[in-house]
Parts: sequence; C-alpha cells; structure tokens
Amino acid sequence: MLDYLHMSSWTFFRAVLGSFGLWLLLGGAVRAEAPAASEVKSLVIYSSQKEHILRELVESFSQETGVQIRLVYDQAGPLLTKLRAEGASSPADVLLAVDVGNLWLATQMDLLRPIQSEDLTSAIPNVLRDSQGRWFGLSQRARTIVYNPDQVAAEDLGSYADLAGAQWKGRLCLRTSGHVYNQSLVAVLLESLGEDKTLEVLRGWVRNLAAPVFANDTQLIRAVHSGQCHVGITNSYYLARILSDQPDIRVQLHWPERVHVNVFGGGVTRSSSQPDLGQQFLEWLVSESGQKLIAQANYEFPVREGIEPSQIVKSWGVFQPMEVHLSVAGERQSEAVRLMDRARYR
Amino acid sequence: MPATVEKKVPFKLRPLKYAFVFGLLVLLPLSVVILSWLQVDTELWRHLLEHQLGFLTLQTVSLAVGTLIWTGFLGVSLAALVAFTEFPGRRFLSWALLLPFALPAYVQAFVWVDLLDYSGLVPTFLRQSFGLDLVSWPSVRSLPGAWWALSLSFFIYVYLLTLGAFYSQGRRSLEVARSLGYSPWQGFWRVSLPLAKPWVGAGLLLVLMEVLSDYGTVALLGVDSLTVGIFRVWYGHFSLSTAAQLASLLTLVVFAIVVLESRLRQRQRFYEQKASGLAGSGAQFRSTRGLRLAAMIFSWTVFALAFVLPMGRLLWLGASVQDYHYAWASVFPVLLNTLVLGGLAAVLTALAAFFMVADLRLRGGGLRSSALRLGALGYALPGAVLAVGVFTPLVLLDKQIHSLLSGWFEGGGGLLLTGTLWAMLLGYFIRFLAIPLLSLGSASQNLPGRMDEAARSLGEAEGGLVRRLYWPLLKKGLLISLPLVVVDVMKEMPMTLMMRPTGWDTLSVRIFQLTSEGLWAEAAWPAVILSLSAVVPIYFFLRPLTRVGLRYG
Amino acid sequence: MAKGASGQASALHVQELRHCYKAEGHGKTVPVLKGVDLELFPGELGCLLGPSGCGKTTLLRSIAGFEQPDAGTIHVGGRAVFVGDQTGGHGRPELTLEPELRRVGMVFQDYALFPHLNIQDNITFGLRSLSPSQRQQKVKELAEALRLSPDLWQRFPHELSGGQQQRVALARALAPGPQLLLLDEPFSNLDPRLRAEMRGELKDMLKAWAVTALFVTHDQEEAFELSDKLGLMQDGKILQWGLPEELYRQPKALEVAQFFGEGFVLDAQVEASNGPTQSYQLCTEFGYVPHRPSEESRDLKVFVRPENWRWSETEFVGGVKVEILDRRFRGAFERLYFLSPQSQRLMYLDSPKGSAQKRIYLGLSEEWINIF
Repeated sequence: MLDYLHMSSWTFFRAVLGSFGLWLLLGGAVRAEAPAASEVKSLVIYSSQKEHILRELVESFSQETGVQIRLVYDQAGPLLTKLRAEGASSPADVLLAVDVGNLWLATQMDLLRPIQSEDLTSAIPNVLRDSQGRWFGLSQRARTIVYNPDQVAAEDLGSYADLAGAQWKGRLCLRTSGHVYNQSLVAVLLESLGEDKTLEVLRGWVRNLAAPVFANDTQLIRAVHSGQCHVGITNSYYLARILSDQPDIRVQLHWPERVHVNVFGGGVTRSSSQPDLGQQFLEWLVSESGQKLIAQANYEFPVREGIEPSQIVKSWGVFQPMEVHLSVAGERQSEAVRLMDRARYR
Repeated sequence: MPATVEKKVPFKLRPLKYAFVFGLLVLLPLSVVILSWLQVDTELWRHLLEHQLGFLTLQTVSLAVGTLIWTGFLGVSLAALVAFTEFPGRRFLSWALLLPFALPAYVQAFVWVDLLDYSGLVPTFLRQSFGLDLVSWPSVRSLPGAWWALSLSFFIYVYLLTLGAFYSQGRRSLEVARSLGYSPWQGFWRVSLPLAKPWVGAGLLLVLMEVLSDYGTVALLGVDSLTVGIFRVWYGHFSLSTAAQLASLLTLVVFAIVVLESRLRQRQRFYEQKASGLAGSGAQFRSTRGLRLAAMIFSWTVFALAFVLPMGRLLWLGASVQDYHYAWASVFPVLLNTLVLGGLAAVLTALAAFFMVADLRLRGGGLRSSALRLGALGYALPGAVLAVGVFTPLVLLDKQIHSLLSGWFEGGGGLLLTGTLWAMLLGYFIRFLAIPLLSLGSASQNLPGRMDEAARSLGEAEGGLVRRLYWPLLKKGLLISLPLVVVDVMKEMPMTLMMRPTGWDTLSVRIFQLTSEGLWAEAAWPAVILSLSAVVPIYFFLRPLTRVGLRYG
Repeated sequence: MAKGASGQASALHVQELRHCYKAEGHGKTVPVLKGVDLELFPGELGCLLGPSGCGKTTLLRSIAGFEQPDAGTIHVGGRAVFVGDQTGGHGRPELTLEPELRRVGMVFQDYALFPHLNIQDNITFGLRSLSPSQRQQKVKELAEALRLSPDLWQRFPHELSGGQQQRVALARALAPGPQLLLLDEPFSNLDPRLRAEMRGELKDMLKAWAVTALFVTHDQEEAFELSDKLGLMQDGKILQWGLPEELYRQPKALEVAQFFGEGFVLDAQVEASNGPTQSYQLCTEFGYVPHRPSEESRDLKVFVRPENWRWSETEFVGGVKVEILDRRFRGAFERLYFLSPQSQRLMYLDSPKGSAQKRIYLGLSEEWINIF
C-alpha cells in the first residue's frame, strides 16, 4: 500500500488516475439505480415527513399514475438549505413539510412556485393554504390538550392559556420549546392574545411545570398516563398512535374552544422541470382517495370536508380550529421563540 | 570493512510533502461557517446574549466537565484493571467493553429514560408493586442523566487509547517503578498513568468533541448545550447564519482546547522514554481476592449497564412490534452499503492521518502542525452544521461545472458531484479525520525522535522512514481508528441525510426517522441490527489489539 | 578536498562551524557552536570531552546531519557534506547532504533500537541492497565480533540487557560500513563495571575494523582510555584539539590544564633579570623561574601538577622549605599535603617508598610547569 513512495512518477500518476476512475464508477453505479429518465416519468420529492409515514401514500400514487417517486428525506432546516443551495439545478419537484413554519420559510426563500389549481383551492380552506398558491395544507394536525382522567375532570379544562392558571401548579407537562409545533402554537397565541398576555401565559406554564420539559410528545403522553403530570399539550395523532396499541392508557383528549392546527403540506418547487406533474401529485393528495389514505396513515385530520378520519380520531368528535391564517405561524415564529426564551421556557 | 551503503538518489516526487492538505479540507465547511459573519443579525444576538447564551454556556461547561470526569474515570480505571489485574472474564471484557460504542448515544439515552424516568419501567414497577409515591424521584432527564448516558457511550475512547498505552509501555515502566520500591498502586499513579497521559488526553479530547457536537442525546435528556442552542437559532429563528456564527464560536473554543492540549503535552514530551515493549502476559498486580472480586464486579457492571441492559431492553421492545416491514425492508443491502462506505471512510481517513503525521515528523513546522490540529475540528462541529458546510461549497462547484458542461452538450449532466458517494465520502472524511489524527498523534508523540535519526544515519531516506519505521510503529494507532470510524459512519446521521444519493439508506437514518416520531419500539430492530453489525469491526479489529498480541508498543 | 598536515586525506574535517538555537518565545538566538575546528584521520578515535551543555552533542548531530549549522564546513572522508552560507548572513547553506547520504553512522545515548524489529533485523536495517544471505553473513560477522550469541538474534530489544543493547546499537551502526562512526555518550547507560569492560571491547573492535570514530563524553578516564585525538569543549568552542598527552602536558589554556587531572595555580609576576642579556624571570612564592622574553604582561599564572614538583630532603637553589600536613596512602603513590609560603593548601605526589620527613624542600622546575 505504501509502495507508491518508490514508484516512478508515471506509475504514481496512473495509480491516482485509476483510483479517481474507481471513485467515479462508484458514484456512477449508485446514480445508475435511478431509472432512465425518458422511459418512466419520475418525481423527486424533498420531504421532512418521515419515509415510513409517506410510504403507503407514495406507493398508491405510483400505482395509480405510473409515476415513479423518489423520496429524499431530511430534517426541514437542512432540507431547505439544500434546496436553496442547489437552486435551479435542484432535482426536487415537490417539497413536503410537516409544519407550516417551514413552508412559509420556503416561500420567503422563494423556493416554491405559485400554482393555480381549482382542485386544490376548492378542497382546502383558505387559512390552510398560501394566498398565492405556493403551499397547500394537505392534512391538519391538531395540537391540543390531554389529561389523566384519574386526576382531572374534563370540565375543569379550558383553553391553552387557562393552563397558566394557579390551579395547575405542579400539574402541567410540556414538550421542549425547541420544537416547531410549540413554536407554531405560541406564534398563533401571540397573534390572538398579544405579546404581553402571551408572555404571561408562557410564564404561567413554566411555573406550573410538573417535570422538566420533554423531548417529544410520546414521552409526554406517557408521563400523563403515569400520573407524573395531570395535563399536557400534544399533537392528537401521537395519542392516537399510542391508543391503537394500548387502548386502556389513562390519557384522554380535550378540545379547547379554539384549537391550534398545523398542517402537513407541500408545494411545487421553483426548480422543478415538470411542475405539472408536481401539481398532479398535490391534487391527488387532496382528492378523496388521497385524503382517505392520509387520514389513515397518520391519524391526522383531512383538509377536505366529508372525509372520514380514522376510527380513534372520530371518537374524539369535532373541533373548532382557530381562525388565524397559518402563515402567521411562520411569520411570528422567531418572535414566539424570543418570548419563550424570556419566559425561560426551555 | 567494505562499504556497502548503496548510493541512493533522493526520491524526487514527494507526494507526502503535501499530506497536510488533507487537514486543510476542513476549511471547506469552516469557511462557510466563518463567512456567516458577513451578515450579523445584531438584534437577534442581543436577544441571545441577554436570554440564552449565559445559560447555554453554563450548561455546556457542566455537561462537558461532568462527562469528561466520568469518561476519564471509567476509561482509565477499566483499562487499568484489564491491563494490570487478573479477574474472571478479563480476556472477554478486554474487547467486549468496546461494544457499547456500537449503540448510538441517543439510543443509550433513550433506554435510560425509558427505564428510569418517572413514567419509565422501574419507577412504574415500584409504584404499582409497592404503592410508592415517588414524588421526589430524581429526573434522569437532567445534567447527571446526560453525564451518565454520554459516559456509557463514549468512555470507550478513553478506555481503548489508554489500554493501548498501558500495554505498550505501562507494564515495563511499572516493573521499573516496583524495582525502585513503589507499590503497584503507587507505581500506577506515579509512572503508568503519567506515561499514558497523551493517550488519555487524546481520548478525552475525542469525548469532548462528541459531547460538544452532540444534539440527539442532550436534547432527549433535556440539557440545553450550545449545540441545542445552535439548532434552536437555526430552526426556531430561521437564522442559519446566526446558528453558524454560534457554531464558529464553539469551534474556536474547541480549537483553543486542541492547541492548549498539545502545548501541554509538548511540555512533557517523553523524549528519553524508551519505546520498550511489553513483558509477559501475567498480571502485574498480585491480585488479592478482594481486588479480584472488586475488579470483576466493577468491570462486569459497567459492561452490563452500558451494553447488555440497553440491548436487552431494545430486544424486548422490538419483540412487541408486529409490523416489521419498515425495519426489515431491504435491511441487508443497506447494511452492506453502510459497511462498505464506513470501511472506505475509515481507510481513507487513516491513511491521510498517517501521511499527515509522518509528514509532520519528517518536516515539522507550523503549517503542518496547524493542519494536524485543524484536521481534527470536523469532529467538533454539530453534524448538521458541518453537513451544510460541506454541501454548500460542493454544490457551488457543481453548478460551475454544470454551467460549463451545458455549453458543450444539452442538459449538462445535472449535478455531478453532489448526491454521489464521492461527496458523501468527502463529508465523512472531514468529519472523522479527527479520530485517526488524535490516536496517531499521541502514538507518534511517544516515539522518540532518535529513532528517526538512527534510521537516517543508516541510510534511509523519507520513503524508507515511512515504510520501515512509521508504518510498523504507528500501525497500531491506525488500526485502532479503523473500527472507530467504521462504527461512527454507521451511526452518523445528519451528514448522511444531506449528502446521500437518492434512495441510499442507512440504518441510522431509519432509526432517526422512527425515533423522532417517538416510535421507539419500531426503531428497536434497526438499532439492534446496527449494534450487532458494529460488533463485527470491533471484534475483528479491536479484539486483537486489546490482547497482549502485538509485541511492541 | 581537505588534507591533513601529513598530506593524508582526513576522515573528518570540521572547520569554523557555527550554530545558534532560536530561543523559544522571545526571538533571541543562543549560540551553541562558536567556530569549531577539528580533524580526524582514518582509523583514529576522536573524543570530545566537556561539561554538559557545552555544545558537544550539537556538534555530533551537526556532523550526522540532524542539525543544520549556520556557518562553517564539514567534510567526511574528503567529501563535503556541509558547506555553510559563505555570505556570512544566516542564509541557506550552500550545500547540505541529507543524513542518509552522509555515510555517517551513529550510536545514540539511549541506543534508539527499533522496538518493532528483532536483533537481526535491527542490525541489518541499513543493508537494503544486500541479498538475504549476504545480510545473514554480515550479521554473523558483526555478532561474532561483538560477542552477540546467535540465540539473541531473534529476540527483541527490550528483552536484552543494557550491555547487549549497546552491542546491537554498535553493530547496527557498523553494518553499512560508515566512513565515520559517531557515538553519543555511549557508556552513560551502563553500570560502572560494565562500562570499563565495554570500553576496552569497543576500542579493540574499532581498531580491529579500522573504523574512524568520534565520540562524546564527560568522563575523563573514558576519554583518555579511548581516544587517539582528544578535544576539550567548553561554551561552544574547542579549547584544544590534539593528542591526549598534549592536552595534559602542553595545555593551551588554563581551563584545559585545570580540566585534566589535578594541579595548582600560583600567581607570578614578570621581572626583568639583571644579566648581560635582556632576560626575564617569573617571581612566584616558590622563588624565581626563568621566562622567555617578549612577554608584555606583568601578571601571569603558573600551573603545576602534583607530580611535577622538584623536591628534595635537603636544601637546593630555588627550593622552599615546607611542612607536610598530611599523607594519604593511595597504593602506588602517596598524596602529601602541605602549605605554601602564602598558606595555600597544596599537594604533591610521592612514591610510598619516599621520604618520611616532616619537612622537605620544594621548588618549580622550568620544563614541567605551564605558564598562562
């Protein structure tokens, strides 16, 4: 391996050339896995939704339309950075994200193109899509209150802000403020309550904490179940997933009067060379069959009216979403994080 | 006496001379990070200074200090027990103690949260069986919890390097100390440990970098380190540039520590120290029954806590899952991919580090030693920040090539570099170069410079020195780094996500996707498979090294 | 090509060698070699003696090529291996041969044996161009000469005793047939008894193989025993370079005289004698000593070794009566202590069969003293 030190320069040069060729081959071999472009239509999706959740959706779309889909998963932050860095050369056709903040950010970075589609605008309520048609909510994710029925009577529960009240001292569990779901929630609260009131609410939450903030919603739900805390705030589908496994878990769901919803949504990228195909994919997702699949895949709420959610979700009844346009969650997110910092909400 | 020295023409092509360039590769991502300072969001900085940075710094320092103390304690004490005492299971544990490294740290952390948090298995059991109230149950999601989980994951850096040091010289010097009237215990403190310092230092440095760049584990355990702060700024304030600025400060601190550490070491170089080999295989402490028992209990306990218990819990969790589909789907090709890629990264980093160290020995100089220190920095940057740092310049270059090629033929062939394994390897290379660099650096430091001079006076030039001295003498340090890099590549996540070719999947990516949705049971299988496959390189590379198998240091 | 006085080509010729170390931190330079000259002829054993820190190891390393001096020249076997910057600045040398091309062997103080190679491979390390059988032959040859029994050949350095390690180091350095062998404090790692034994062995060996060698030590006995040529080095300079007896008998500087053996310094004043021709004499506490003219200085030092006193039981011209204070029996001789007229405690050597008198007469003999 070290013989190169004794090689003549020509031999050395050849060795270097050879290894470089090998690298190119190695790189090429992997690229070759992708189907030849002209034969089959294929769509590249950059997604911050996890692959295992999207898999079924993607498969049935491919089956119905014959379009091959290549999923590129990454966390939203790096994904957007990647998309922006690639610019016009990006292979991405569609961007999917699991929260509105990052969709909004994508429009700020001018990564998404506006599309006009009667199918999309008629199916999706105004507040759940970009006014210029750059992103569309595909399913609703409700962030709501859960409680342990052994320790809390349902009628004692009110709004998110009410959880700041003194009666909840030492009883509340929250997920870390570092997560975008909470950042979106606070941004929306900020819009409806104003800065001073929101800060007060945040301080109340922090005062009431029964345990250090949790890293994820699942842990939080378990803590509610174990009685470590009595109430908590979580996305409803996490509870649904646990309930599907352990139906007798001691956690119940409460809808505040106005519920904060986030979206799993997407848009067609500026770089896409086949925006029609991307649009077709989005339209398929809000079609009845697509919406049904989404509702089944992750226990979320369809954006299209008249679609049955899954069994567990249905048992929770209907809720009233806040009437704030979702873009607010993105616009005021940084502000919200600052407020949380000031309230020492970690 | 007849003269027999051949007249050798000095080798004209000296590629080794440029080996330091490998260390400068890290400037690629670093420059991206540093260029972020062109645009400073003063308002956000003011906010951070007022409300965040003090707390984050305090948490980071506590996290680092606590973890270093713990890993130092675990690593050195276990290495000493394995090297110098005899107890049942010593031979097995000598390499098995490396197995916890196969578990990603955040999986280790998850298991401990799952076991010990209020809603976890143990407190639940105590509550339900004994009706205990447990109001004051200490939270595992805390600084001590992070020290614990991180130490169990990372102590092996210290253990492995220190064990190598003890084997290569500890025994001989311990004999000397004993002949001078020291008890084994005194001899250990006064001689063996001081001699092993460069290795302990290198091990701790790797741990420090791991801890500072870690996100998953500390986030899970609710510790707000600077890295958590960096991601909060990036994702929360949508300010990648401010996040990069924070990261550059973190890197600066790490660089200062790296420089300081090597300064400290230079002060006490062991020039006169003979690189004598190790003697015999017998234990050096006459093991009393008490010592033997204590050694056995301690070592086996650490092994059980760091590996058996987490693996057991994962297997148990995995058994409860009905839908194996995602976990199993084409897992073996994926695994093979990962191993091959990890192997390539390991070999490339090891060779580069070897050439850099050899070049530094041959030529010395500020540029080369700075390159050596710089080269280690890739390990200290938070993974996702480093990923962006590597990706951005690469894609810029790619676009240049693209526009160039477009002039020649239609389409221009798309992005040629990004999204290839070549680019991914480059990323891994920059990230993991630190491992062989640090382990080789300390090995080289204890190699007396006289040895080089002896060889030169015997007529060996550069190539001969490299081939006949450095290679055989530093091989061991190199071999240690190989499996560490392979396993680290297998566990790596942010870089893989960003740089991988479409469709390229690794186990760690799967584990991450599942666990970030809280699907720990579903993630258990991939985690177990990842750990078990990481056992392979550990077993084949590291086991021989932890044995008294090599005849020299 | 450097030629010696006899016209014979020298094996080692160092001229005007200068070297500075850059002090760490505050960019100052510390001179360690301040113009060193020395010459060795083929087959000669040279020795550099001096206190630690005098620059002798630096000189050795410069000859081997591990240090790059600032100025001066070094020739090995008539071939220039180093020619310093001629312009006088601290620029690049005009010529410097890499150590591996100098054909200069070196035995290190700590031997620096390669820990990863066995004895045989250590010895043959420098024999790359030989076939395995030739190497085997060489090992046999050297091992025989150095009394390294074949059962040691497969062992590793750490399994050998200090003396054996040293022999290996020597064999290794000799194997490629260097034109010059350098030895840095070769015996300092050995215990005293072994040291004496190895010394004799080494000298015989080097002589038998006609090796030119230069070694460095701070042990006088060692230096006298081993060397054909001897140099005393102090503070970056070689005070005197020559035959051992020259350095002892005709030291060129008081430091040299004082370094080797014992001796005493007497103050002396130059006085013109009242004779027909203009002559001078030195006035000391032991009377007058004739002195060559042309000496300008008035105050000089007279150096006298204990064995070089003139003495007698009876009075003689120039003799001074002294009282013996103490006698110490030393086997072959006795040490006698006495007080000089100016109450300096002095000593002379006497054979045990000599005088038992309490008082004797002592004087200086012109040919046996050194004047500085």
